Amino acid sequence: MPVTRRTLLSLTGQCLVAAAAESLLPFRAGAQGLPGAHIGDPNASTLPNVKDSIKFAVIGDTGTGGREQYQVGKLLNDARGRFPYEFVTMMGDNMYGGQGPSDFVKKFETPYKSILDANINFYATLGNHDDPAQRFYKPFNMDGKRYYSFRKGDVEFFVLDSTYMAPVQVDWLKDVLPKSNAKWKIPYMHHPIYSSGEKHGSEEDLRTLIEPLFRDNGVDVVFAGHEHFYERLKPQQGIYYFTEGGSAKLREGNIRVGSAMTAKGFDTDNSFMLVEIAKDQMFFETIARTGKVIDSGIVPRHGTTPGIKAGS
Amino acid sequence: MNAYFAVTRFALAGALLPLLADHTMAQTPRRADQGVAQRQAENPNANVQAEALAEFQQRIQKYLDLRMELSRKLKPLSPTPNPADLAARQENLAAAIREARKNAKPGDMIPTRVATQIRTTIAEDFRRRNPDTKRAVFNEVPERIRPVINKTMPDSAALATVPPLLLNNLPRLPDNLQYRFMDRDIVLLDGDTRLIVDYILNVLPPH
Repeated sequence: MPVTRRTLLSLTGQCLVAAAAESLLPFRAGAQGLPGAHIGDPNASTLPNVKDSIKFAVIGDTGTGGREQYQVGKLLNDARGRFPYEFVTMMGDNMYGGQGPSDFVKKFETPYKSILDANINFYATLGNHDDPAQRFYKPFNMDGKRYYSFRKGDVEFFVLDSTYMAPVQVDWLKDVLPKSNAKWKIPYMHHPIYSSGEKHGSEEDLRTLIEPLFRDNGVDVVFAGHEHFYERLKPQQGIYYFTEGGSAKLREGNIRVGSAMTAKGFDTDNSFMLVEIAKDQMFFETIARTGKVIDSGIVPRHGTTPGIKAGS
Repeated sequence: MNAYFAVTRFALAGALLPLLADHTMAQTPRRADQGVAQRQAENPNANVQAEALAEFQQRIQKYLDLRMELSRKLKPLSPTPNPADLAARQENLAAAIREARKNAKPGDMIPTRVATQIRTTIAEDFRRRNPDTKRAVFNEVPERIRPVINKTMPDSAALATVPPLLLNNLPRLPDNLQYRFMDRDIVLLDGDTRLIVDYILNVLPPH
């Protein structure tokens, strides 16, 4: 069987069933036995943690100021011990309800204090619960812009305001995506254009407008939030979509049972992601509030055949 | 400002008719005359609509000029690490705009003809939607609140997403003014201050 891009996502645990169904290659040897693995257990990590790779975390729908946000925040900080990520991407809904000065403290500065104190940058996108003026809040690194891009090594991130995708923003994306010479182009935004969520589901209007741009401009991976759970979608038109909207809120049992789009879903607890991009591979690990790794794998960059083999 | 403004096919036809007529008349006057007359007969409202959109454009520009002038007198909204400072700048600007527009009333920004066009565009958009995408539009649209000019959108209300394909067909706005749904109404929202600048009532079907 020819090794295609679609066949290369490697998975663990219960995902192996889906993996087999999609002709995926098994995960590398070091990651065997991942179900049950915990943060803090160095043998559990599926991330290669190599020098000069791009390491970051993904959190979404965080701004509750509640217990779960603080618990995930602590785990996120603890994870730095074994995986020194350089920055954190935020998938929007950075602040629910009040958006006053004390809310910034309670819903952002305090739960992530240790991370902020370590000078790790957060890069936020706006969600439908966010005051657009959050873009002027310096720790969100939006530089006053509703949509923007930033580059880290071989990776360029395109941060979109999916709450208001007016033509001017689409025109901007049409301009910057093709111009980017980054090896990896990773858009992220609040609303998922593919989702198995019962509450919201896929944002089809948005998909109509921006999916062709993703497809035609070498996008490999897209991150989103909005749905209060974790979902990894089966590749859609060759692109891997992740929804991480459960880093504080949780919509328990909201992933449609039997959804043909779901490669892996987790809607029973809060979660966050750790991601590492090393050359032509993107490694990811999704961690529940309990510390348990609930999903992990490798996404190859388009046009590459990295030849991941079991035991390699 | 022109770059910000969507000229709908309808309005574009109206705006271009005189130019088209000038250009073609120089070459084949009789045929151009006939063409213009025929188009005007087919769509006599095109020029009126183009004028209404131009009026909308001018009013928006006037609002932006006012906001710019007020911003200059205050601390402008710019990146700050201090949320209290950000809130103060935002509130000061909102207060200044409120004061300057204290007599503003519905329709001051959106001319009646443009409001009608927006209404029609939204109705057409909803007609083409299937029940699932309709449901998606109404998801998180704040309910049971009525827009009031110069009031801010409440913090507790999510900024419901206006469908991008619909936005494509509405008259374009500059980046810091936005259309947002509120119950069954559509508001023109200042994206920096969350002030309601104008609104049109009952544009959305019951949901």
